[in-house]
Amino acid sequence: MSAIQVENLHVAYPAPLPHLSQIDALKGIDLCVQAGECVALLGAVGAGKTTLCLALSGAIPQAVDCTMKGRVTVGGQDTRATPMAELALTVGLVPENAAAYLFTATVADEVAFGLESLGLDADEIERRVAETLTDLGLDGLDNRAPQTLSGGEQKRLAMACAMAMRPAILLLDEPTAGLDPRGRRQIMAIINRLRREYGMTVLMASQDIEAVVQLADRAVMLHDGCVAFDGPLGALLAQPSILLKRGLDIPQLAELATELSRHSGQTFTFYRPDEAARALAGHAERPADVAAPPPSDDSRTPLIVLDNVTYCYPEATRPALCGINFQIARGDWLAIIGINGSGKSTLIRHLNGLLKPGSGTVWVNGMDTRQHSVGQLARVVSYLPQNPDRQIFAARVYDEVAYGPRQLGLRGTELDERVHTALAMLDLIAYAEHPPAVLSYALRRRVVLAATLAMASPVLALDEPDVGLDRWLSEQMMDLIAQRHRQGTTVVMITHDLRMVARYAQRVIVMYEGQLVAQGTPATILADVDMLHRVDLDELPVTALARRLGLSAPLPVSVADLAARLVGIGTEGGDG
Amino acid sequence: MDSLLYVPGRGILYRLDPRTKLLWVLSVSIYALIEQSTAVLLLILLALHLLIWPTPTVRARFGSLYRTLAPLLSLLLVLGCLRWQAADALIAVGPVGVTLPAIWRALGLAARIAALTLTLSLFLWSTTPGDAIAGLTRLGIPFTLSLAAVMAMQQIVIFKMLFVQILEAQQSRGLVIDRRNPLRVARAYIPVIVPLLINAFRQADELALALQMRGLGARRTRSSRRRLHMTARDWLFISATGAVLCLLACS
Repeated sequence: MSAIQVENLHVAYPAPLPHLSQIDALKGIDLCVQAGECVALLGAVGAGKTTLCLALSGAIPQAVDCTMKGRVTVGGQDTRATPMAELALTVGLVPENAAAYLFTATVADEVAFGLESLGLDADEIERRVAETLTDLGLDGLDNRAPQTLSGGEQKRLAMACAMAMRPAILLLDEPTAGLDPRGRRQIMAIINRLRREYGMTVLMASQDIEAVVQLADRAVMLHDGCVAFDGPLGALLAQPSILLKRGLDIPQLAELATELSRHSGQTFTFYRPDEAARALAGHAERPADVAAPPPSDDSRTPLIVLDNVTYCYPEATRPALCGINFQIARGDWLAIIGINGSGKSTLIRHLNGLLKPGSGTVWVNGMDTRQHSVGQLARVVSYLPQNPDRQIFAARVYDEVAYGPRQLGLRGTELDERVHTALAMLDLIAYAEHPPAVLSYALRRRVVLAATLAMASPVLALDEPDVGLDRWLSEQMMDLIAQRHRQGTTVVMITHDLRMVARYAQRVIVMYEGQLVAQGTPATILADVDMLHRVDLDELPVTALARRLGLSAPLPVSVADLAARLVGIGTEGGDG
Repeated sequence: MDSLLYVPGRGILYRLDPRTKLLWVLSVSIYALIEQSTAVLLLILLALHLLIWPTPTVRARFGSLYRTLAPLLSLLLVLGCLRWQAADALIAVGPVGVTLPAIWRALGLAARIAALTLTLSLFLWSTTPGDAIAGLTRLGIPFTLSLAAVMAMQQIVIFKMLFVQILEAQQSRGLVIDRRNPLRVARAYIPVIVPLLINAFRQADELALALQMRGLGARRTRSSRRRLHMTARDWLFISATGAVLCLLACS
């Protein structure tokens, strides 16, 4: 029996401005999902994943301003004819931005709200609230304010709100976006358990292919509002070029399988850890080429110095930063990693003076941050926030990009050149006269990066630059930042993506409970599995696989490293 | 702004039914508005402090409440003390003087404002939004109105957080607010106000969607997980409040 049936679905959003055309988000989607299936809905930014989720929940066409053609039925109910509130009993939607959908004062009230809407009696509500909170690992948090929960807990609370209504179908829009490894692990484990225990039909819309491959049986890939692939997940991962062409990342183990197949003449098709371990068991190991560590260049001038910095938020019971000491040399690329709440954001906000140390000193280009305003420090450190909507205000993209340089005193031709260079770098010339607020999410992210780059500050501070981006956008942004780095800009970035750390960073520091617990090169830090586990971080899939295969230290941290270490099937003497 | 939100704690106000507290807020507020005696108003203010003094979490909020009220109370005290060409002025600067009755009246006015604010604050601090909604609904106010009123309070706090985030983002782009010139201050805040409004509209949309996804309006009758019961304690509290106010009115 089909749980979800979509026939020739077209959805179009109204034009954001009179002279622009309407936005065709979905263009004739056909989809059938059987009861109990777990489907990964894949696609790049703007492919139509969120629109499809909204259509399945009934929000489209009932609550969202758009036009819809075609037919959608969930659990046998037509989403156009059945009120959304009724559909909530059949299909639960967990939105990407879970925090924005939480509106009551306590966790228990949040879960109870939907049940109260259904008119259930108080005993039944209490029973379901308690049961659902236990199911989602939120027991004991009943009286906490939802806004004070971590990102992972908020996501699980949003799931609890949907689950309490006992839906047969669960829709998850980017379930792992913005979560740290612990949060991702918990969410995926819960989805797996819910599916096993309740036999739910699950549809996960995601760009985080690494996470969804662990659970999904089937993949549906959207591209530009159309279905570009629909079939077994394994079949999709066996052809990584399809994923790359559609702007999606390839799971690291699937990439390894492709790499090994290319070099060995054998065919490897694994993408899950167990399959990979089975396929590669017994292969001899070639010792790692331990390259001599690069000569330490102590002569480089430290641009940023943190000297015994401690910081405690008002009314907090423990410090957010505790005796932090480190230096960032001019031209360095430093990655800061750690779970949520470990002090990463507090640390990076000290670099541009948004926070002043409680004790100790932060020196930026010779300036004590306590003695200078954030505006003055912006000449040295420019900051790229995660959410573009926290800063977009101008009527034209040109003015948005020009705002920072203007504040720094640039005028006339110099300002114009600076803005045009930044717009050209991000392919935004055609949008220069458009209001940035009405552009798509991907374009808004590009505008904000252009605005940051236009400031041409010697230090670029990036707060999770890859959040919410597909592979295309993420690579485009990071390559531009790398280009700036080669020209001498110092980069400091917070990220949960260890693949990005391995690819771009020169140095890594690891934060945990407000303390700096380790620092070193990406190769040493990412291979130190015991340390990573101690601070609740996961090693990269290739490192985990190497450990499982019993490879000796130093453990590999990239596909090329691991392929080069496997005798007979790797890239011996080749290009590994 | 955080001082508008519920704070967990223990004490008599925490044990009362929200309807009792609403009745108490209403009666004390009306009385504070019509009472003319400074001594009585100061007495009411003192009683409000004593009522919640044993609750440390609430006591900790007094400071921030009075810091917020300080400019208004100072203005009332300063302006209220001044009299034009007063014969009995204690101090006089030209035709403007300060008299003892004026000081007393100004104190009364400040006490009235402080008492009104504190009464409402004590209700908000000691009542979860869920209880407040349940109480208002049981008193006959439609659920959607009660929900809107309580959520509006919470949204003020959320917007304050958003304002700070946006201000920080713009400061990181070089925004410096020159406070010497009011026109420049107003202009400097444009990059903060515009994203705040855009985000506010977006959040309002998301909130409306969230309410629909949780079945708001799905059934004609809506239930509540809260069982509200008026106990002997509630009736005693209402009687005591009534008696004290009658006594004060008659004295």
